[in-house]
Amino acid sequence: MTYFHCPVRRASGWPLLLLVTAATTLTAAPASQLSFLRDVAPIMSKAGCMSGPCHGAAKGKNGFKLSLRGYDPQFDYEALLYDLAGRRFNRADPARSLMLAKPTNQVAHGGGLRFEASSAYYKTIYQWIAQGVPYGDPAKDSVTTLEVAPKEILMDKPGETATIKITATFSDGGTRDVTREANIDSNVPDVAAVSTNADIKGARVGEATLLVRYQGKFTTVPVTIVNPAPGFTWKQLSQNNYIDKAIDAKLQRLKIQPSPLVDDAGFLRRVSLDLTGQLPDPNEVRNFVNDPTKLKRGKLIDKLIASNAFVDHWTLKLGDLLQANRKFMGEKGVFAFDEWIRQSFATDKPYDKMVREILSASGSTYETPAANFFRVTRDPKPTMEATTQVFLGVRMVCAQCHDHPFERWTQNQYYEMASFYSATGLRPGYEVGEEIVYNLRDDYEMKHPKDGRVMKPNFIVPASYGTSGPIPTGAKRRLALAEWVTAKDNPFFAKSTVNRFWSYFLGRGIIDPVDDIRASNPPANPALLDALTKDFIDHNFDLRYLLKTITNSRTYQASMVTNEWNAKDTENFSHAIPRRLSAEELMDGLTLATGVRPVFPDVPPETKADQLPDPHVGKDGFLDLFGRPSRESACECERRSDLSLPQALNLVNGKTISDAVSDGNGRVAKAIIAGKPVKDLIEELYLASFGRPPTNQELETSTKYLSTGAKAVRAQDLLWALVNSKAFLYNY
Amino acid sequence: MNSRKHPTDTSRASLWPAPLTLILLAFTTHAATPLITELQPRGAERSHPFTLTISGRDLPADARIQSTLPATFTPTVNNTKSLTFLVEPKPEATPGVYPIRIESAKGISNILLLTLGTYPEVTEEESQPYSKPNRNDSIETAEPINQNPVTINGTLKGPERDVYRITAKANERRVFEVEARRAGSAIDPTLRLLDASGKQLALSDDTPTAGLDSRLDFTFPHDGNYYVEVHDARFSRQMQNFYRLKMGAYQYADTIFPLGGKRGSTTEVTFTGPGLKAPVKATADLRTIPSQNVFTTVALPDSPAMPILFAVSDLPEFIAPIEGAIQIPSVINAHLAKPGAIDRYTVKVKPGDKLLFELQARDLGTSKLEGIISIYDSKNKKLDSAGDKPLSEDVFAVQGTSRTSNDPWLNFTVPADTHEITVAIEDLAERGGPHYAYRFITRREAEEFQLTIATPYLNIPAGGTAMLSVNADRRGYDGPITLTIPDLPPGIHLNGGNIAREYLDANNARTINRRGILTLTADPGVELPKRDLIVVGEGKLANGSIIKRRAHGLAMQIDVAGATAQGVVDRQRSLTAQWLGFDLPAAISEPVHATLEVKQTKLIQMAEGGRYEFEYKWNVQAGTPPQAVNVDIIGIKDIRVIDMKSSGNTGTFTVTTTRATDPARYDMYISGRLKTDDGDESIISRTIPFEVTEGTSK
Repeated sequence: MTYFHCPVRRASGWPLLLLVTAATTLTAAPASQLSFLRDVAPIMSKAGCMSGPCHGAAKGKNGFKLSLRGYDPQFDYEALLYDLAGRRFNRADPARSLMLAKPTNQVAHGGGLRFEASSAYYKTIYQWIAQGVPYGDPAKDSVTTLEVAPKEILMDKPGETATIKITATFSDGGTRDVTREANIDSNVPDVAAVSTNADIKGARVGEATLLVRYQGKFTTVPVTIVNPAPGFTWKQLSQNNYIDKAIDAKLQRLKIQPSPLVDDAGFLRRVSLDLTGQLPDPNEVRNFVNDPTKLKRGKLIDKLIASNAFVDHWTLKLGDLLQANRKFMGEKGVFAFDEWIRQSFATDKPYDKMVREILSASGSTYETPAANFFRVTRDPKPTMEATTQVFLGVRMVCAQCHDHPFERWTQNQYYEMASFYSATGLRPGYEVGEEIVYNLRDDYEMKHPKDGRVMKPNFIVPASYGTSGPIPTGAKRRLALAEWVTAKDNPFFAKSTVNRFWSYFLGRGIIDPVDDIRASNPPANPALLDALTKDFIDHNFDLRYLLKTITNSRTYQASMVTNEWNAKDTENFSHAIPRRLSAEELMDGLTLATGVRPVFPDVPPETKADQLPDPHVGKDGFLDLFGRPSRESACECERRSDLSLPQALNLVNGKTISDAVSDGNGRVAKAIIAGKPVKDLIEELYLASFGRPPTNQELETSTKYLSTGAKAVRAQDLLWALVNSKAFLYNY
Repeated sequence: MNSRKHPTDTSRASLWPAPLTLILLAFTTHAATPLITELQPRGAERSHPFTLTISGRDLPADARIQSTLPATFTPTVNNTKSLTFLVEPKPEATPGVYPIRIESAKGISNILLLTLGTYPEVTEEESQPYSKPNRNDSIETAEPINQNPVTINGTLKGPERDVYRITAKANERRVFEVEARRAGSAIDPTLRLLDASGKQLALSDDTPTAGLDSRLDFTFPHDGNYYVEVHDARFSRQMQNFYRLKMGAYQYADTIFPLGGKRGSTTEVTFTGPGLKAPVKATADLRTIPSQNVFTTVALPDSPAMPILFAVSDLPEFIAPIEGAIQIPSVINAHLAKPGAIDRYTVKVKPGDKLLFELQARDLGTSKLEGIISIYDSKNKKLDSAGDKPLSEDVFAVQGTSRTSNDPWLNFTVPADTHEITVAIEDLAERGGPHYAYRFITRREAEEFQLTIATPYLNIPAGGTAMLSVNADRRGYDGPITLTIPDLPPGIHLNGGNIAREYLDANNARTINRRGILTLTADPGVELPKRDLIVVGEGKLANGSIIKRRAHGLAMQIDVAGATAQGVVDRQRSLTAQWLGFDLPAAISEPVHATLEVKQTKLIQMAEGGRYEFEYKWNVQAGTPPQAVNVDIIGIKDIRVIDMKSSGNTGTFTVTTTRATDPARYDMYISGRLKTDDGDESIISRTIPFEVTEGTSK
């Protein structure tokens, strides 16, 4: 029996003589010997040798390069064995090996002391060197599964601890307790802290996930620390649909009492902003608040979803996602693409159909506007990355250079996926700004960067297309990808879509960030995500239905006012979380509040901020200051929702607000000219800005203020103060 | 095997020339020559007299109209700076687009187009004099249109929408069509039909056989009000910003086949389209098409739709399918029958044969085909192709979205042991169907070029000099081209006309020489004949024979504004009207206030190149010449202009060449802006030869 499986260095032309010599030496080694794969690589990983800041860096460290987090043990072994002409090992006197002298700091080591000379790690490596540095047999020494016990940790209060045991199973069926060598990370360390000896301590009430990694395998362990405060009694609130049931189940288990419904005015403002990007006008507020019917919220949702403003708003959202931008698409291209998105929403096109049309689009970008999608990224690799991130919520970019460190995606899979786009070409058309998306006729195979081998197209996980027939390898392979992405049983497509759209209404995804779905980033409420996903698929990817379902839920309609049980909850949707208005919502909100619409260049007058085709219009102005995305990235994070000092200064001192407030055709001027009584004027300004009438105290204070000077000036001051307040700047 | 294809895909085919330099136009138009900026109206109903108002600059009161429109043009008196004419179309005037130009002792003007239509014409209220802008930009403010059928003459002033309210009955069919680009407007229209709630019922942007213009064919679902919206596809601001919105229940065609025919013959054409119950056949009469015309128009019988462009050639024409090997030279008319279709043609060849394969399709404006030409040997091995490769990314980065491609062509030299090849024609995006017709042209020459006169018209000042520019579209011929204008009357002096050769330099990069200039100098009192000037270019082939090509004129040049913001470059090409079949309209205009002369005084040969010394002289009747002059040597590279000195009306300068300067005969001229009491005048010299020989460059 031969235990030594020395991999041949690919394309390196390494002298065969050395390999033969090594093999000759080692084939006589005893059967109980150690191997790199099973024994040494885990130690190096645990010691951090292969981490990003150390030798796992793209260019290695101090001339020594290892694969990031040890994703390529064969490469690491060859690096150890052959770099520096093999001087890392002294087989005759293992203690004098650089492999031991460096990590124990016996010679200068940039990474400092990694383990003591007296440690078990040292002894293992010493013996391994003495045995002739055998690599091991991948068919026997590779890890196949990783199990953690317990699978879930539930603590009744902060301060409790738990111990986990991690067991690796190898290809040959053998198992080993690898608790000590495995890497364990908590995604929320201030909820669940991990000690060096794999003890888990519950630090505060909340939830966390442990990511356990060992030799390229990983698993996760959810940790929940329940609120220990006495006196919790679950008070069942109304449940409008299955969303509330799934939410309540989780909240009840965590002893979190959800907040009740927001009042009617608050609901009108919130749902108007979320569905249409627009504030309700004063008359709409009055009518809705005074409407005594019970089903008025549902009717309002239906009305908003059927409105043109709804189409505008979601055209903008999807335009962000698809990076509609004249920088990539040209002037006519961006208008055509924007119109295509708009009509897709206006005609209730199922989302899977819409995505399929995008991914399979070919021909003229003027005649087939969906083809503009390919003009953003142009090349196969970034196009694949954008496709998986936007439509599947999966980030593949890490796997371009190495196997994904926190997911199962390998570098091979990256190029197999990119291969679906390798035959997609772009060529200028006859008209200015037009391009033709087409299938290349020759030389379109995707090659692996390491060895140049052709990477045939293959899906990262099978779905209906992948299992129903062979994947085409010709130039039309992209069509198969379009089918696969939008297949009902694609495990990511529907899930990532409902998760993304959920985040638009609740402020964060059930999986968050929404475009980073991976095993190590689990959903806050898996049952809810599954239910939404199934419902979305069952209703043929109908986005309007999805949004209607979400907005009809009690969960969405919850008040932002918290109780003692949910005040600290930020992840389980037990209460509304205020969100700053987006740049466009803010601009259009100002238009409604002040009664003055800004004129944007390059678009017709009366164009709302929500209707702008791309960020070129009004570039570097108010909208960009307040976080309008430049649409140069597929990441949802490109839209900023922070509140910065320049924004605050602009709100207080900027011309946008001050000019609008004092405009001669504005709301204040018209009200003054119309002779509107002070009380009515104040009420109108509150309704237009906050979507609610003033409280008695607000009315009293405002009345007093307006009576102490020129009414027009004071009214302008009041409006300026209102639009500078949080009650205007936030959706809550 | 030795083959050539598009040297760059940015060069425009001769049918639709590249954007021209405004600088050149400025040099040929001194301050006093007339310029038309607007016609009012832009169209008229057939057989109905109308008043035509011409606005512009330097319009002389005694101007006459030049037009191919069969009509009488009677000047009328008005109190404005505009010119007005009472126009009486003759009965034989058929619907179509006609050029309007004025001529006078001050010279000739540019042309703008006037459309003769079939329906009653109205003018958009917003386009009436003194009307407020943006008065019909929404459904709420839509302008009611109660006539049907009707043609509305409207304008888009900046980024706006024009909305019209119409009333229709259930099941009533109506066609809405915007004539803009076809009628000489820079607007790229988009047409939308909306219901009373603002919901979009139909949209049209670009339309087969109508290019960037729009057409909708709609049957209304119920009685009521509907809204027709017109806007520019890019919401751009254009100087020529008019459109003609035609409404009515008429027949139209969106395909024509074949796309062209042979001069001197009649060709049966077939029209099809959604508005036609069955294909309609008609005859294209090409018997009297002048030799300079490469286009004519063919109209669908009894239809108010605009006539459709139709290509004209002098080669034998065939309609596919072709039995056996194709004849060379010939034009094969065909269309890709269905998506994914590939048409194949067998060509009998001999080793060493030099062939030129060209495709005409999308450039004609009557086909959507983005063609690929591929050549296979008898074992189905691909030997070459054109039109199917992505363009290099680096050039894209520089030119952004302004890049365009043209119908492909391919020079092909038959390799040894090859006696039969197959030429395949397909669409780049594997499309096909009735809209994917083409003309496949084969010739036995591998060296070819085509010429376009980049100056639409020319005014030569009496006693002065004017310049015109000619662009060459090289299709395998890389040698020098000599331009000339035959049959010039005595007293008109022609200089220049050298387009230097193209070659691969030491870095294997192609030099680009595709532009030549000619200067025409008129003696005082000389007159030009009442016809266009003809420009001809000659090249000498490798076998010693001469290739001679007549340059085609642009007729018109309408600038189209595009985005120029950083990172967003949509350089739009000018709108031209080569289909009008003009060569070079020219006239003698009023004298300028100065002339400019230049001559070479010395040539010093040095190790690193040549040093050419020049003197120049202003002959000024009135005005102040500039301190320095501009020096331009067409097509040369690696030169420097140094030591510019002036003293009064004379000056000197030096041009140095280097070892990298290609030995050739170039044309040099100088220019400057003379300041006069009436404003600046652009004055140019005659061209003089600039000879670079081996001795001066090596």
